[in-house]
Amino acid sequence: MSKVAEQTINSFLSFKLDRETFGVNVNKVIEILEVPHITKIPKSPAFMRGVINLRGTVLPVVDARLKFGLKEIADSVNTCIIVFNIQVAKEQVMVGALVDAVQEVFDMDESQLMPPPSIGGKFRTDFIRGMARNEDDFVMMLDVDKIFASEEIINLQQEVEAVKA
Amino acid sequence: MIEHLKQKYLEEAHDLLLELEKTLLLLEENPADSEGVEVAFRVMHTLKGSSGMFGYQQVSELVHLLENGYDTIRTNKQAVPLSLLELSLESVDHIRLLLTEDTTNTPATEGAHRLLLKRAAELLYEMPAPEDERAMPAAPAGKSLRTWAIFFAPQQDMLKNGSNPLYLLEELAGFGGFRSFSCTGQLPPLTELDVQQCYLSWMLLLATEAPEGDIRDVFMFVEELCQLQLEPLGEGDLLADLKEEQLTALADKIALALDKESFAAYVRELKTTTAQVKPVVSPETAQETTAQLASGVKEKSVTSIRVASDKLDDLMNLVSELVANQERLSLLAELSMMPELAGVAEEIEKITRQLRDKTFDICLVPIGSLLTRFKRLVRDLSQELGKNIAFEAEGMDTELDKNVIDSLSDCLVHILRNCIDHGLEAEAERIAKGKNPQGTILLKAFNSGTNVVIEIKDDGRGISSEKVRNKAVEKGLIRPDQVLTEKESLELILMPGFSTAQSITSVSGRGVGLDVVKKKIKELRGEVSIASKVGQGATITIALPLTISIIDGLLVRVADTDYVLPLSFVEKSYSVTPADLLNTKNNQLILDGEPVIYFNLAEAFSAGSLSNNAFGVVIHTGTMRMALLVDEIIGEYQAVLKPLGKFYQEQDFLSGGSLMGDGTVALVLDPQKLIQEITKNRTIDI
Repeated sequence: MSKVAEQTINSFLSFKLDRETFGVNVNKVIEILEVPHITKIPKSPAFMRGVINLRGTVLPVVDARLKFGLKEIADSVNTCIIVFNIQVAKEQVMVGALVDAVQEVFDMDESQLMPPPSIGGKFRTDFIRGMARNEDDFVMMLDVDKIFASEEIINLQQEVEAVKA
Repeated sequence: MIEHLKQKYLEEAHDLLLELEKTLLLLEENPADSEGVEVAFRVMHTLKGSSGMFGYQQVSELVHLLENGYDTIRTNKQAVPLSLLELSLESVDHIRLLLTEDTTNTPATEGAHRLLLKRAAELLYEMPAPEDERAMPAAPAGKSLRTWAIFFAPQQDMLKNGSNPLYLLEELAGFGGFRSFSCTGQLPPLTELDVQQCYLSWMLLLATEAPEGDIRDVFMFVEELCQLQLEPLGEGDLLADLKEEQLTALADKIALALDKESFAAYVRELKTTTAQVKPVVSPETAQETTAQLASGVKEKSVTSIRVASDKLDDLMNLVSELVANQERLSLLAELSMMPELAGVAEEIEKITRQLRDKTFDICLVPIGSLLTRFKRLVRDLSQELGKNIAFEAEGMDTELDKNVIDSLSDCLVHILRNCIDHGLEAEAERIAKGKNPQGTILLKAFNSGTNVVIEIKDDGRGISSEKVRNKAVEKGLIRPDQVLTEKESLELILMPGFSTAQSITSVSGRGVGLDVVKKKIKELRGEVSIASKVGQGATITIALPLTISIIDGLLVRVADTDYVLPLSFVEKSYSVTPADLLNTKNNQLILDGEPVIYFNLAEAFSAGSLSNNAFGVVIHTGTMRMALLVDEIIGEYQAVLKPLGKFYQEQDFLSGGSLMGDGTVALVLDPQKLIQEITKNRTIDI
């Protein structure tokens, strides 16, 4: 997708992880899948759930809960995989993220995004682009490129609290 | 649009340069080969034309000078002087430089360019002037006026290719007396006329002193876009002899219909009307030339097209998806008990298999495509270093995936440089040692199991494992007391920071050494090994897996995950019960009365405990033999290898994934890497 599209699409997909609601710009989202059989890859970090077959290509799946340092729970009927097209080191890579539930697509102008408060460098807030208000809910807007480019577990809970404070 | 065309030009120019280089190297071996001269001339001519068109003036002026040189040789039927070949090869390099945008206007390239032009001009000056009359064996000696009939029928889409037939006709008119008759019979009614199509064809009469070659050259750029036929009508200017009424009658006939047959008829007619006046060229000669031309055209018609590699990757993906779905269909058909469905499924299976094989085939490139580059390298370096070296190649039709070939090229260049610079001795030294004065480098490629093996063998000094060892100790790469096998010592030269060259030459030994090669080959999931006998030479062997490949494998299951073990490594399988494992020592199982080290995959992959009806699959990797314990053996399986991608680069004991018929993913194991992984973290219990 071209840069123009990236600027003009102001639609966001919101999803649930634990008790928080997160949002991502839809231009990063390719599709949403039900959870198929995931093939585990031995000797890989726990948050890397494994690989699935996405129409002929092998798609890596990240367990977003574990990636963000949350507790592991059993998959439910609402659990699904969001397929993202992300940029890692100037390359477009597809990755699936296992989330508790997807919610809705809502429109919002990028300018309404409240920037994360600077909080004296105690917590890193690189991974959150800002906060948005969608009806009565607060939605944390994520920077998926940065999140999936990092190979570590991100303590998102701390970030979320830092942003909310 | 222009950018797009320019890109196309650049691709084409690089292809032409490669062809030219190849031809020049052949000519160097056999300078009198007139066919080679012809090819060189044609390639240069095409290159000159297109370079001018896209604003690469420097390229076209240089090629123009060289082309003149080859034209002279061509017409005089001489051998090509070595000085010209030398200059041409240098020019090829220079043009490559000119074609890389950003270096074009640096003072250094400017200077080099002027120097080349000057040398080319000097060379040309020394060469005898072309003698046209010898150019045409069919023509009688002496410059004489001849009249030609030309049939020219452009393809309808010629205009879209940027060629304008009108310019060609104008150029021809410049040759001498000229009459053109156009056929308008193909012209559709105005309402259906597409202005971008060319509906006309022509019969042309030309009275000129120019030889046949020059007339053909006018059509050089449209050769493949038109039908062209040249027929000599007779000596002298026959146009003057023809009466105006005859010509008008002819024009009327041609306007209605013109094709090869009617052209021949018109030519016959003209010949008979002019025959009384002038003698006609004997029909045999005419036939002979057309037959020659026809065969020439035939050779060219083996066409190929360029396809972006992304598109091939897409095609590959779709085909693998198709294969997976077809397997599913076959399974369902079997279960459904419907004979009709089973028939269809079988048919689809056949077609899918063919489609898959063809697609794999498309993505493969023979190693021979790199050969010209290597030949050139060996030639240039051996001249520079004053060594006498023969370069031989075997198995150049061995195919590898295109992407692998690209990465491989640099590695092989590096190894060849090393051979020439360090490996092979100078002529005097070889004679003193009683060897053949000419050193030999053999590049050999062949398939071995699921690997492609490439060997670079020289008959030079060889590598002394002792010297390598001492050097490694000196450089602090190993401890002085470290025990190494001969092979291990030799392979120290693949370590970073190792360079055995006594002095640094301009050719190799710049500190970056064979370790780069090793790293690159490793990225391709390959292996490098070295063997050598002091005084007799050295062999460097590269073994590469076929990346895009179907692996014949054994499908096994550990916990709930399917794994594919390449069949080429699998020796035998045994049933293993917990009781068998109860009293084992040093991880050894007794299978068929022989002890075999075993390894529990369920344990290693943290996949729980092994089932009670487990199996041991004995694998053999050349150096190691061991049994892998798995929960279940499912059967033989043809796996289409898919990369696991960026996120799973650490897990290099997996070659990739393979899509199964039920839509899940099985993991393909790399037994060699798996054993390395297993033995890495293990201490030996004594």
